Formats: sequence, structure tokens, C-alpha cells
Amino acid sequence: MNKYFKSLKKYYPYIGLLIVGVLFLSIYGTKKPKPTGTPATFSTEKQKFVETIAVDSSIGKNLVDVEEATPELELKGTEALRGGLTLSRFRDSKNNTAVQIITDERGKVLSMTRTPVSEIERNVDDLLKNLGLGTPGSVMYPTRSSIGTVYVYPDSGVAIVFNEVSRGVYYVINFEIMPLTKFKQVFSEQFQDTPDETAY
Amino acid sequence: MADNPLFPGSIPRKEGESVNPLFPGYLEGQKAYRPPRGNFLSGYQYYADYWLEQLDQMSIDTGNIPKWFLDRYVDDFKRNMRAIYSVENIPVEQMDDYDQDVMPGVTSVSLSLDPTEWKDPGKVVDSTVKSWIKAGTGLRFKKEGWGLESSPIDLTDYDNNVRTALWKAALGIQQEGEMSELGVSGGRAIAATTRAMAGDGAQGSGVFNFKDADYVVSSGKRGYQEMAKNAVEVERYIKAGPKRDSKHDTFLGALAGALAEELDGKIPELGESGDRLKQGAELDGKKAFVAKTRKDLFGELFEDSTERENFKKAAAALSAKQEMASKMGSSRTAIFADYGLKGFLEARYSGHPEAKKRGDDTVAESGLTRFQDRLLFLKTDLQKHIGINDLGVATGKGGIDSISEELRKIDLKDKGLAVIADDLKKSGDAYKEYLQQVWDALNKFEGKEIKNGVVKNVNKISERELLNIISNIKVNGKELTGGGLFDPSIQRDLLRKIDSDVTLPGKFGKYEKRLQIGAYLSKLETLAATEQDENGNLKIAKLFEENGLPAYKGFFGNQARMVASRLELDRGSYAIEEFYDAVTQGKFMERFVWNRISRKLVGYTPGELLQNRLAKVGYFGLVIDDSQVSKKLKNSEVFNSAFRYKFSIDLDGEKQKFLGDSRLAFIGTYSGFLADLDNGLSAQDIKDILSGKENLFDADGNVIEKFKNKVVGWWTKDPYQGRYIHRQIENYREWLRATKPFGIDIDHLKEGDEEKLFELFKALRKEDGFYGSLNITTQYAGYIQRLGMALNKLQHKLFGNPVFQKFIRPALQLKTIIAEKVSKLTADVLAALATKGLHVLTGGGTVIFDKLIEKVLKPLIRFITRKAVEFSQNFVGALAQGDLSKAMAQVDKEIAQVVKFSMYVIGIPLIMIYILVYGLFGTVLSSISPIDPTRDNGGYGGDYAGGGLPQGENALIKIEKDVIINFLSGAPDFPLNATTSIPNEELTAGIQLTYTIKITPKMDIPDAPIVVTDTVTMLKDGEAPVQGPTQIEVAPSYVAGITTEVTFGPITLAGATYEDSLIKNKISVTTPNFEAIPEEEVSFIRYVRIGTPAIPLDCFVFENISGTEQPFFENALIIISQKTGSFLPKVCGAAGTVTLRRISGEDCGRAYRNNTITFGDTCVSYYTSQPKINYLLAHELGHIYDYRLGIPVEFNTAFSEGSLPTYDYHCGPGNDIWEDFAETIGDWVNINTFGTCAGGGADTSSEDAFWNSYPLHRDFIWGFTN
Repeated sequence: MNKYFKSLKKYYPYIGLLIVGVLFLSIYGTKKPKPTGTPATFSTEKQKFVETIAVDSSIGKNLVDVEEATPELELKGTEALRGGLTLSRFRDSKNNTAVQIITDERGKVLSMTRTPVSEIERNVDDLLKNLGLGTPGSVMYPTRSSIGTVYVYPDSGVAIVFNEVSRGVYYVINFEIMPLTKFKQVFSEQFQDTPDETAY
Repeated sequence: MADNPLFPGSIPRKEGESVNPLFPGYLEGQKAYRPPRGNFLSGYQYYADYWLEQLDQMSIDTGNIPKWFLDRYVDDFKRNMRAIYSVENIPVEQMDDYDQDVMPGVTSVSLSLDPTEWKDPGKVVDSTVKSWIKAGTGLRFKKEGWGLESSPIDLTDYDNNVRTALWKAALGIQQEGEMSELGVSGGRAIAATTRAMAGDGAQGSGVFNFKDADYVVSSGKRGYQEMAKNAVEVERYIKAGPKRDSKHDTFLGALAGALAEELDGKIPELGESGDRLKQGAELDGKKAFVAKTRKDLFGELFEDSTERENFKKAAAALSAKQEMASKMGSSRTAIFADYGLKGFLEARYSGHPEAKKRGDDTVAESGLTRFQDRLLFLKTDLQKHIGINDLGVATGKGGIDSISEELRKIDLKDKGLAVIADDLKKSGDAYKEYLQQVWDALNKFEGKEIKNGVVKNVNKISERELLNIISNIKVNGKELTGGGLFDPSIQRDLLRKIDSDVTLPGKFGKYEKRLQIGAYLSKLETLAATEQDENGNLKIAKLFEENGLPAYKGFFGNQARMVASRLELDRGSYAIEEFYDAVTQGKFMERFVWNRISRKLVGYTPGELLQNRLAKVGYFGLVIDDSQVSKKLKNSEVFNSAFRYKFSIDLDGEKQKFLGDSRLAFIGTYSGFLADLDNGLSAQDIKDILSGKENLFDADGNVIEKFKNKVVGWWTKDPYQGRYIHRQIENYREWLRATKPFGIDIDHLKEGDEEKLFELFKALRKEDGFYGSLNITTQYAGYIQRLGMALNKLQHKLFGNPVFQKFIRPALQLKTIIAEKVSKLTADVLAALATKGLHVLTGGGTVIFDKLIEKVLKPLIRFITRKAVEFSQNFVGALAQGDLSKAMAQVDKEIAQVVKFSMYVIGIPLIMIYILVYGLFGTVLSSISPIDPTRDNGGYGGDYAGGGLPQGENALIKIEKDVIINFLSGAPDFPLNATTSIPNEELTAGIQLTYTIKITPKMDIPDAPIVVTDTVTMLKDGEAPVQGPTQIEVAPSYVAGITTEVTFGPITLAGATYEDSLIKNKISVTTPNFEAIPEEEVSFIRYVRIGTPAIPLDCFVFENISGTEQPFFENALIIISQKTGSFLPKVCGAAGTVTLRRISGEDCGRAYRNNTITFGDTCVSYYTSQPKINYLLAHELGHIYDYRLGIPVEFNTAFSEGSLPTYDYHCGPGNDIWEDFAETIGDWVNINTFGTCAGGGADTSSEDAFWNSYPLHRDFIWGFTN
């Protein structure tokens, strides 16, 4: 028995390490980073943004159905994006807002972008406070322009484009909850990671 | 103190107020002092808050020092509640014996013992385990969770080792044949950069060849090789604060020693046999030297006799300084080495059980105890140095004084030499003072106070007190050796002077260049290599031969100079970096203040006390200090089985385990003193000594006759050291007898045993020196220590695998090579420019600037370069990982830190001026701006002519203009150059404007009259003339510096015509074509505001816009103003001025934030085409409006019909809303048909046709502009 222990002696440090590791992991487990907090006016099963106008609830639906259900939407034009996506531009004649909708190959609405329609929506700080959103998952910038900042909250399906000096909101974006990498792919022609220094 | 009635400015204590007993000067509840408010200059775009914010961020909490001190004190205590096992860096020699391929990092393993930390055990275990895993594998974990950091393996130490190996190659210590290809490149790159930095790029190529130099210095070792090894050590520790400076001192000492030996080494006499005696040999009981030294030989190479004499003096000066510096080092060792005074004192006051350690054993000859004998020996030695007798009376024969006096005597008439001797004497005096204080302390220990022959009896001081006094002796605030960033020691000062003599002769004014050795090294190198005698042999080689010196191997002094230059530069720049880090990380107080305080408290800081306590209990079995283990424990079987330290030795495949034993101490000593001697002990000698056939020392501690020539070194003069080592050898033999390793019995040696003994000796040396295990003299090892060793071995295995060899090591080598080349290039170029530039500016008189360049500018440039290289490495690294936001964050971080640092260093004086002025005088002086004291901020200006100069100025002339406004109504006059608006009502009675113009030429240009043109116009609905243009000849020619004053006016304005307008006065001078400066119009514009002008031209500041383009810009503003109603006033009214700046580079128009628009070269054609500039300026101003006020909500409706298609970057609909807004305004002023969209497909046949296609946009802009 002694001989056995003797030969093990040189491994004591490793064994110690192992025991410590096992104990620790069994008690505390592995930690996942905490989410950034749920916004106040969210209804999670439908992933809505702020239900102010009808088109806000178009996420996840088929565009054809959305158009049928919202007759005030006038189609102004379409554009093909990368990866089989389509960008459709509308005018919401009832609310006098410009709306952009991105759909996938099957016509399912992935995102909806519009200009702000309420007082709270026009100031980024007020809006974020109202929704209970804090630090964004990612900060991006519009392509082809040196103006504007984008705060993206991929876990909440929300993005806001605003002017960081005047704090005025340019667009509010509602999108299907997706990982950040997918968001970047979907919006690859609209947003990028660094300010576009070549644009004027 | 504040309520002490005797203190001036005291405030009597109010009833009920208590005084804090700890700080009698502080009154609780007393309000903080606030400086009185001053008058703020109106219209001044300056915010004091900004500065206050920045001050806050500088993390100096001077108002809170007592508490801060307490925090530090407690922190010191807490920080020491750890069991730590840390390994010294691999010694330079190691990397020779060791496989080049396997160079793992250095690990330090610790475990916290702080109970407050353990309150959150999860966190402690988490971080501890992660640090241990990192120690074993190099893997780095994120702080939260178990994900790995984006650069998962910590390669810093590995990187440092790779770099150090390249330095070894560069200095010729490592053979090129033993290195990989990149290794060879790396060594050469470093050598090349070093040469270039010394300004000698042409001479020599390849690596330095110090290994060929065989000059032997006083330690018995080869001087230049020691110097080279020390140089590598400096580079290895270059980032490590205090170690860097002390390693650099060691290097300087070695450099001075080697150089002094090469240039001034003594030439010995002939011995009895007619042969030259070797160094250290004796003749007739005296050291056999003659007055001739090598400087006499090298001197022969100079043709000019004056130059020769000066060279010899310079060499003598070097020797003298080196001798003094070396003596200082020896004094230090004599007192503080283990066998010095310190060892005895510590053993005595801690009550060490062994009498030998305490020095209580008796010395046979004198009958004194060894400790008393040591004290006497030391005192006598001190007296010899200082030049006093037992009664403290000067003998006039002090050893220290003689050094500077001998130097002076070389030529009493040479004033320059006298200066050097005086300076050296000053160092010597400080040194003497230091020794004097030691002597006084020793006397006090004996209960005596001796001054000038008078002996007084005083109370004896204890051993601990004696040690404390000796440890804290300072002369004028300086210690003898060592020192910190801001407080160099006496020795360091001297060493750095020697450094300057070698690397920067003639640069610092005090010494004459001809007496500084550095001035000759380059020339000597050339002469030594080229001067030949009649037979075509090298002259110097022949001289060496004739004087019985060993063969001439080449000239090394100049190469040493280059290495020293490089190291000094590196040292300086890292010192700056250290300061920079301290400031930016808020560690300034800690590093430089607390460290100095805590040094004073040696023996009394809580950390030390705690360490003592914990050491006594062996940190609960985690870290064990042999000296603290009691006899009882040593005899306990359980204790031994748990903690006894063992190591194994492998001899020819046979393995054996040994217990760590203190009797093996000789192994370590051998490496320190007897190895690497130039003419050292042979293998047979060692075998004889080890087996006991021969002794190295006699019982008194003197080297025996047989080995006298082989064992040299200044340390052999101290018999105590000899006795010490003799005892160690005897102990080693005892160990051999007791353990009989590998069957060797030294009393009965068999065939081949002697050889085995020698192999064992070598193997023991290797094991002892191996960084990854404890010393072989260690008896007990705690668990943290064992863990640390095991993890080291694990890391060693992992880093030794082929992946590292093949991929990572070359990558790191390449990194170093690139860094070297980049910094070489940058340093060269910038330093050359700086020097040239300064030379030109000062007309060649750069004596003052030389110091600035060498000591500050060059290291600063190197520091900045390195920061840039490091930053780009981080940046590129971040990019490579695809994490762009991280990369950008890196930019911000660096910029913020640099700004902070610069502000701290540069900004403080400005801040002090501001605070002084504001605080003391309570007003803000109107014409001094803390941002830029030279800029006049009154009034809005006009254009800037030429690059960077303020308006009204170019290289040839300067115009200044003031306007005085008088009111005919009798209302008080406006101040000079007022920018506030004149009320419309004043126009009833009328206003008068008087312009005073000052014109100062900057150059002398005869026959060139100065003609001034003055024009006054009114800007209301467009620009209308008021008066002029008037032309006046102001002076017949340009006379530099002579100012001429001219007055225009008074111009009277009255009536409603002028209501709500801007009165613009423009003064211009056309300077002639002169010496490559082309003809140019220089103008100065001033505006006067009446009412609320529709065209707020004064809101716009033109920068860098040429005289040709300027009018188009101005007109554009007028037209925009006319077409867009209140748009411009709204923009201007929301915030301050808008700067319109012309820049070079590929850009068109770009709005920056809310106050600047730049115009680049891409749209250069626009700037002289009225319709185009109208559109562009209006578009960009639209962005400014957006930044300042936000897009009006009504625009959303317009935007919903689809964007205007004319915007160059997005022809067609589907543009972004902010661009569409700007484009709408732009198109309203002038439809963009000329851009890349060429109208974008809209109907541009007429304005109406265009806007009818976009009715919602039309409705919006109509409402917006009316």
C-alpha cells in the first residue's frame, strides 16, 4: 500500500488540481453571460416593438398577408439584396411614414424599418429609457454615409438609427430575434461595423 | 493648524465645532475653499468644466493624503497574505546550455490566504485555478466564465525569451552556427539597428564580436564578455522598472571596466625568466606593474602629438572614474553581502542558534570574536579609504581623494583636466561622506562618538538599529548605489557620467570634448585597423607583441560604445513609458510616493511583519523557508515525509535521487566566483579539490600558492570570503562522504571515479541553476512550491513541442526583427530631422538643444515609435480576429491615454497659470486664452491666407485691424472689436465706424511699396457697397519689423437702410513675388452687426480657403441666405460658429459634428463654380442643421414619397433620411444636375418640373423656408 502511495506522490499536485476543479465546477457550474435585461413594453411571443402603427406587427408574417391586411401601404419599389433577401419600400399613407421591409426567399418578413411616429420615439435617450434597453449588443454605422449610429439589440429584435449629437432618431427597426451575426448578414448592405470614412 | 491663533490666516474655532484628534489642523464641517467668481467674457466659446473634468481624471487625490496613506498601509498588509512560488527569469547562461528550441515562459503560482477574499470562495477558486492553468499551459481565460481570451495563449514571456536570445546572437555570445535562419537574421538586425542608432551605420556589419576580446578585468573574467552578458540582461529586463535601472548600472560598470582595461590596462614588467608576468602576478612581493599602460600603445597610432596627449588624458580620466565607481560597488558589497556586516548583524539580532553565523567563534590570532574582527577590519578599511586615523583626524592620504588627485597631477596646467578632476572629487566627497557615516555608526555601536580627535562616550545602539542606520544612509538625499526613477544614487550618477563620456562626447558642455574618451573611439577603430608599419604589419599588433602582451585581437571599444548608446536610448524611452503608464493607470502616487515612503520603513511595514509571521509557520505548509524550520520539525518523520525536498541526477543513464542539502552550497558559489575565469581552474584542478587531494584556500582564507594565478578577483583580498568558501568546500566533501553518490567514495577512489566525480559536479551545477526547480540546497518545499515546479515542467513540455518550434517561435522572431527595422527607420529619420531642424532654427548653436535631443527627444521618439508599433500590433491583432469594434476601442483608448499623458506633462503649466490668474485675481483676463495664449478671440474673423497662419498674415506681411464704434446718440461706445449686435434704434442718430489698421512687414523688400485697399460693404439682401474701394500707399517699401498705422474713417451710417445688416470691412494688401514666395493677396475682414442680419456671414469662419475660391463661398452663403429664409439664422443661432475648411485629399464636402464642414480636392471644380458651390454648401449646411437641431418632424412625410434621386452617393430613390433632408435643401438652392447622378432620372428641364415630381418634398421645403 505504501509503495502505491509513494509512486503516486509525484502526481499530488495534479490530483489536487483535479479535485479542486471538480469541486468547483460541481458547486458553481459554468457561468453564462447574463442577458442585458428585458424591455418594459415587450410582448415576447410576438416580438413586437412598440405597437404604434399597424405595420409594427408584421414580423414573422408573410409579406403578401401583411400587404393585404394593411391597405394603407403603398409599394414604392423593391430591391434584391444578398443571400436571396428582398427589400421592399412602402409609404404608409395613413401615418405618412416611409417603411422598409426585408423578406427572405419565401416572403417571410424578417425586419421592418420606419421613421419615428411618436414623441418618445423621436429622441433616442427617451426611447431607450422607455423600452428599458441599456448597452447595445453591437454598435454599427450606416453604409455609404458618415452620419448616424446604430444600436443593435439582437436579443430583443430591436435596432435604432440615430444622430449621436442631436440625439434625434432617424429609424426604428423591428426584426425577428436572431443572433448578431445573422443580423449583420441581413443588413449587410445597410450597416457596417465602422463608420464609412469615404462617404460624404 | 487652522484654528491656531498664532498661525497667520487662522480662523477662530466656533462654539460646538470639534477638532478631529488625528488631524489637529482640520476643522470638521468647515467649508471647502472656493475661489471667487470672475467675469466671464461674453461670446467666449470656452468651458472651465472641461478642464476640471480632466483634472479629476488625473487621479491625484492630494486633499486626502492621510486616508490614502492608511489605505496603502492596509493594502500592503493584505497583499502579503499570499503563498507565492515564483521563479527568477532564466539566467543568460542557461540559454546556452539549454536547447535553443525549448524556452517556456516563466511562471509564478500563488494562493490567497486573505480570509476576507475567501468570503467569496467561488471567486477565489475561479481566479486561482485559472491562474494555475495558465502557469501550466499558458492558456488565458476570460475573467467571467470559462471562455478563453481572444488571444488564448500568453506568449509574453516566451516572446521576451526569444528576443533575449536574438540579443545574445547580436552581441556574439551565441554562435550563429547554432541558430536557426531567422535567429541569425534577428541577431544581425539588432546589431544593424544598434549601429545605426549610434550614427555609425557604415562601419561594420554582421553581429558584434565581443567573444573575441580577451581582456581580463579585476574579477578575473573577460571584461567584454561580461559586458555583453550584462547588455543582454538589460534588454531582457528593459520593461521592468527598478530591475532595469540596476541591471543598467551593472552593465555600465562592466562597460567601464572593459573599456578601461582595453585602453588603459597596465603592462606588466618582465619576470625573472624574462617573460612578461601575467596580470595579478607579483614580483618581489609587490604587484609587478610599470607606469606604462595600453594607452601609451594606442596613443602611438595618432600622428598629431596634441591629439595623442589628449587621448591619453581622456583614457586616464576614464580609468579614474571607473576606479571610483568600482570602489563604490565594492564598499557596498563589503557591508551588505552575505559574508559582510549585514549577515552577521541579522544573525545576531534574530538570535540565530549557530555561533558561527553570529560570528561568536574566536579568531585564533587576535583572540577577538569573528564579529569583532570583522568590525575592526571594516573600520580600518573605511579609514584607509576616507583618509582618517582611529581618532577621525585626516591623514591626507585618503584612497578616494588620491584617485582625483592622481588624475589632476597628470597635467596641472590643463584647465579642462582640472574641471574633470574637480567633478570627480565631488563624487569622491559624497562617497567619503557616505563612508564617514558608516564609520560613525560603527563607532556608535561601540558606544563612542569620535570627532576631530575627540572621543565621547555615548549610549550604545543595538544591532538592529545599526543595520537600520546603515541601510538608510543618504548623502544629499542620495544613496550610494541603486536608486529610483527620480533619485539616482551617487554611483549611478558617476556611471551615467561615464556613459556620457563614452556615448555623447562634447554634448553637455561641462567637459571638453577632447578629454572625453568617446571622441576617440571611432577614430581609433579605424586607425587600429589601417595603420601599418614598414613591413606591412598592423602597427598596433606589433606594439602589443613588443610589449609582451597577448596577441592583438581587434578593437572593441567602439563597438561597446554603440551598444551603450543603444541601451541608454532604450532605457530612457522605457523610463518615459514607465512614467506614462503610471500616469495613465493612475499608479503615480503608488509607484513613486508610496515606494519611497515604504523604503524608509524597512523592518516596520505591515507586509514585512506579516511575511515574518507566515514564514514562521511555513505559510501553513504551502511555502516553506528552511531557516524557519525548528529542530523538532526537522527530526519529525511525518514532517519530513510530507515536505522534504528531493531532486534527481542522471549520470550516463543512471538515475539517483538526492535530498536537498545545505552542504551543497559550494555548487552555487562555484558558479558565481570560480566559473568562467579567463585562466581558471582546469578540470584536473577541480577534481583534485573536490576529492580532497588539494585545497583551494588555506585555513586563513588565502588562496594557496598553486592556484594564485588561476583564482583572481578582488574578492580574494578579503580573507573572510576565502574562509567562507573554504568551509563550503569542506561541507561538500562531507556530503560526498555521507551520501556516496553513484557509489563514489572520495576516501577510496576507484578507477574512473575521479571522472565520475567531475561529471557529478557538472550535473549538480546544471540542476542547481535550472530555473524550473529549487536550489539543491533547499531542504523543505511546501505544496505551492511543488505545484509551481510541476506546472513549470508541464509548460516546458507543452512549449517544447514541434508546433512552437515550427510556427510560433519564428513568428515571434520575425516580430522582433520587424520592430527593430521599423524603429530604426523612424528613429533615424525623425532624429535627423529634429536635429537638422533645430540646427537651422538656431543657426547652428545647438549646445543647449543637444541635451534636449539626446536625453529627451530621442528617447521620446523611440517611445512614441514603440507605442505606435505596439498599438498597430494590437490593432492588427484585433482586426485579424474580426473584432473591429474592439480595434476601434483600442484607438480610443490609446488616444485618451496619450491625451491624458500629454496634458499631464504639457498642460500643467498652462493650468497653473490659469488657476493662478483666476484664483488670485478673480477675473478671466480677456485676451489670454488658456487654450492658445496667442490667439485673439475677439470678434469673428474672415479668411485665412496661406496655410495655417491667422487671417491677415503671410510670410511677408502682417495686418491687424481694430474697429471702434461710436454712437452719435451719445450712448456709451461699444468696446473695441465688439461682436454684439448694434440696436437698430441707434441708426436714427447714426453710428460711426473707425478702422485702425496696423501693417508690419516681416522681410526687407526695397522698392516694393505697400498699397492697401479698403472696401466697406453691406450684407443685407446680397452685398451692396458702402464705401470704397479706397487705395492708399502706406509705405514706400517693406522694412522688416517697422509697423505703420493707418486710420480709415470715421464712416457714418444712419437710416433704416442699414437695419438688420452686416457691415463688412475688408482690407487687403497684395504682396509681391519675393524669393520663391509667389504674389499673393492678404486680407483682413471685420464684420459689424446691426440688428438681426439675414445674412449671418459672421457666423462662418473660413479656414485655408484661397483668395480665388473665397468669393464663391461668400456669395454662396449670401444666395443660400436669400433662398432659404430663416434656415441660416436658425443654424447659427443654435450653437456657435461654423468653420468652413479647405483641405487636401480625396473628399468632397463633409460635415463634421455640428460645427465644421471640410471641402476636399475631389470637388475642386465646385469651388469656382457658383451654382455648384451653392448646392454643395447648402447640402452640407443641411447636415449641420441636422446635428444641431435634428431633422424637422414634418420631413418624415416628405420622405415617405421616396427620396430625391440626385444625391451622388445614392442615385435614385431609397436614400437615407438624413441625406435626403440635406439633399432637399441643396436641391432647393440649386438642383444637383452636375453630380454623378446627373439628375437621377428626374425631370430637370425646369425647377417647377423637378419639384412637381416630388410634391411632398416641395410642400415641406416651401414651408421650411418661409
